[in-house]
Amino acid sequence: MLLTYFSFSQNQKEAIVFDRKLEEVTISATKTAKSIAKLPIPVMIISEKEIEEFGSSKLFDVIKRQTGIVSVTTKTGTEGLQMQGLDASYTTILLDGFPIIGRSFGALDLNRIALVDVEKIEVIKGASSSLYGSNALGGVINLVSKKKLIDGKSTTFSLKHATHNTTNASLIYQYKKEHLQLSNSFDYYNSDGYDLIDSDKLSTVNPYSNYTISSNLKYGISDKILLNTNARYYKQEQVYTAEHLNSLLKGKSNIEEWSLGSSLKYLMSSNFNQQIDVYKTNYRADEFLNTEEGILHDNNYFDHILLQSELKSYFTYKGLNTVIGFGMTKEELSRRDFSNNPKQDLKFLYGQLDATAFDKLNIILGSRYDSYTDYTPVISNKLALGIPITKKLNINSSVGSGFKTPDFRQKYFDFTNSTIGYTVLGRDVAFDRLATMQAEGMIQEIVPFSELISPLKSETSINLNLGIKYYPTHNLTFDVNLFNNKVNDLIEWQLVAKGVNNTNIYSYFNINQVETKGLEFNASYKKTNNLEIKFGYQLLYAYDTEVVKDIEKDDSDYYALNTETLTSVRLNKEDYFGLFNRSRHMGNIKLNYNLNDKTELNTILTYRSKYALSDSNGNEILDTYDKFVVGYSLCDVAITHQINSLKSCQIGVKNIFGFTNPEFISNITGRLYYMSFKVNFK
Amino acid sequence: MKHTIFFFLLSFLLFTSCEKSSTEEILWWHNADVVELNASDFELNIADTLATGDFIKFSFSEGSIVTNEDWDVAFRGTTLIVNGGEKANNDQPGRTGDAAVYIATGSMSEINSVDTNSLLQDNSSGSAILNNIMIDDLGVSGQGWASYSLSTHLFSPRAGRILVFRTHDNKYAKMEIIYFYDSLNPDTGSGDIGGYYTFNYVYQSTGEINF
Repeated sequence: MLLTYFSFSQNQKEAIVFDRKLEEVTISATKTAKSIAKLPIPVMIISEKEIEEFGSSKLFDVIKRQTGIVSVTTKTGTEGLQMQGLDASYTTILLDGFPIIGRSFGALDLNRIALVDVEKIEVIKGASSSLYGSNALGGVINLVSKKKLIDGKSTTFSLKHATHNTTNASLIYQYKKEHLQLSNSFDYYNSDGYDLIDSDKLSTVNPYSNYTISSNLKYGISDKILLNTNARYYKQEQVYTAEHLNSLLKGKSNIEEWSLGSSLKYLMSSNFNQQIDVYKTNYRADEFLNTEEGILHDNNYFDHILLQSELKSYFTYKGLNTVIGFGMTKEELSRRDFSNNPKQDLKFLYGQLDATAFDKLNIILGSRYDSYTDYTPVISNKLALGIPITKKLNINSSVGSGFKTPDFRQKYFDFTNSTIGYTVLGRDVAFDRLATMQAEGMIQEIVPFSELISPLKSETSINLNLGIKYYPTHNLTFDVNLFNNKVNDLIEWQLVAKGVNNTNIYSYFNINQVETKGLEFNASYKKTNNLEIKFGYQLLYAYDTEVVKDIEKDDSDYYALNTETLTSVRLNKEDYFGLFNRSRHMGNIKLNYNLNDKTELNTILTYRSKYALSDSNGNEILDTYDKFVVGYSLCDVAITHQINSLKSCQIGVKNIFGFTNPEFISNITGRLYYMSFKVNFK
Repeated sequence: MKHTIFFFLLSFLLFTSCEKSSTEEILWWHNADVVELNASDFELNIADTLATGDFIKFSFSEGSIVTNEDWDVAFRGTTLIVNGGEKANNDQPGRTGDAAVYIATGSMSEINSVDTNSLLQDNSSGSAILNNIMIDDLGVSGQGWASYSLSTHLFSPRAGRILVFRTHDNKYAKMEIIYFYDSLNPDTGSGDIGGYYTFNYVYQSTGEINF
């Protein structure tokens, strides 16, 4: 439903014709520029061309088409992503290396991130805490902003109109003169939203509009000192509605976000560089609901602020690349239903060695030390090996650890839902609150309260990857990667006590242990310069290790209702499907065809096999007797036409089959048409 | 050729085993009675979470809803009480019989005898179900007959939880609650409050503890 798109610059065309794979360079995987063909860890690069192919203007629209990345809608309606079967809260999102914040319920809304100033997207799969610290259990996504290489100025304007009265206008102005590079961009997005279920008073997605302003300045102060400054501002307004006792509540939901990052790079000598980064960002969400009479019914806010400073040193000697960095992060959150405004300080230190041994073997060894104010320090490691068997065949293997500290909600939440009658207490406030309630004699202990004195532990993970890259000819590539992730000490809420009138009181515990494993396969074939076919597939098994252990026992307590006989049956191992919201299979086929010099046709078919969002038969696990969301396919088609060297246009259809599933999938809207026009003023 | 024989054997085995289990289920099906009962006429006071409304009384020997004193179990919303022990508050019907209950884990066919030591009656501080076996707990701690989802706000009966009863006149019965809503796709947002019970049960009229 989105779009902006740009003509391919001469440089890019050459790069594409030359050799795509070798040209793709990633920065975030090792914090130094490195060709992905040589990198021994699973990395995917989404080029500017790929962003433009289907006119995507927001990150979510691009990322959901990639192999092994599943778009998931969380309970709160936020659209997150799943990599290697791991939850949306386990992916770190960076903009030029700086973290994007604003996760009110774990997942970060990828529809917030405009792509007008993005040159490429780097996706690293697998635990990357050894470089990026907390949250990078599943992987890292880094957006790299556009660079201008030739002196002069360029202004590009694009306008798109799509179904649901969606308008997207964007403007980017780039300027370069000698040592100065400036890029300013503006993106405006407005949509009427849509409604998948007519029978209720509410819309599936309410009307919204947002805009992003971003500015990037690169300046060579001298031959040796480079300054890079990024500034970004985002604002969204959306109609907010809810139903309460048969009346419609109306209000607004606003998001305001800004970030300012600056780095200074000192090129001391050809083999020694230093860089200092300072970054500050703030995310604030406000929402309110009024009754039909205009009286305030409910309001809510979420305000997160982060300050980060970091010093990095790069050292290169023959086949050896080293990076050492240290820094600190300060965070503060204020939010309704919190006992206080929590703060968190972090000091970190990391180092990474990237070496070539015996002329061929590539070894990456990294380690990071994170020290939080309230936790025992965490050490994360990574070891990766790249073994070139022949010029065409590479074997890669990596092992890494990841962690995620408990979030502020899990520590400081103090929330009571009076309609349903339950209370949720963050671990850090639970003991004191419960003790007070107990002293007042209105509570029944279910879990010994002494268990709540110790703080929550971080969630930790071990990630293994084994990959084979096989490039038999210059136009044929195969990539296979086997992965395995074990996540320990998963934080979940659990009943701790019964309050007045039998109401439930919950708090957070480290309880579960999950494992995800599977295989990712990607192949591409470029028949001629005019035709390219890509294929991707992921096989995934994801389950709770405790459930697997229990269900294998003869006296397991897992039963399910057989809805045909209306009797319960005892479940065995084969009946356990695994974690919620995980599909066993997903895949895509993409076709890129140049009709002539000026016109290009792109089409992609994506498939996701069945999955379930929650348990439907009361045994708390997902089994074969549960109600599943049926598997589905989506197909997008787009035609891009280059009118002349400065003008181009695009028309496209998203979800051409018009698939919808109103009951379970709120973010698939049926068939969407769009057209856009782009013009470049030299 | 070998493969063909193997395939035949395999399909024969599969076929016969399917056949066997479905016969068992059909036989079993005829043994139990399925009842749909509407106990949804209740109101929940949000302030003190106390429910009000009529209890719907059920008798195993009659196999139907009754209005007399000879009931065994009664339903109101998520609350179940038995006709034995004492009443917890004045809006409950008085106890005139000797009924008791406990929850066993298993399928209906696996629970084939009564563990009389586990049976409990209602008492003045709450129903047996509430204080001891926590039927009213709705299974959050893993003991009750249903679970409650905080994300969908729905109550789901838990499979493999069998309510084993002593009736008001010292006979036995076992019951499995299958559904709590009158729709297969309930939606609390549109006002489905539940209380529509579908359960199946087996009644042992001889007073033996084996079903």
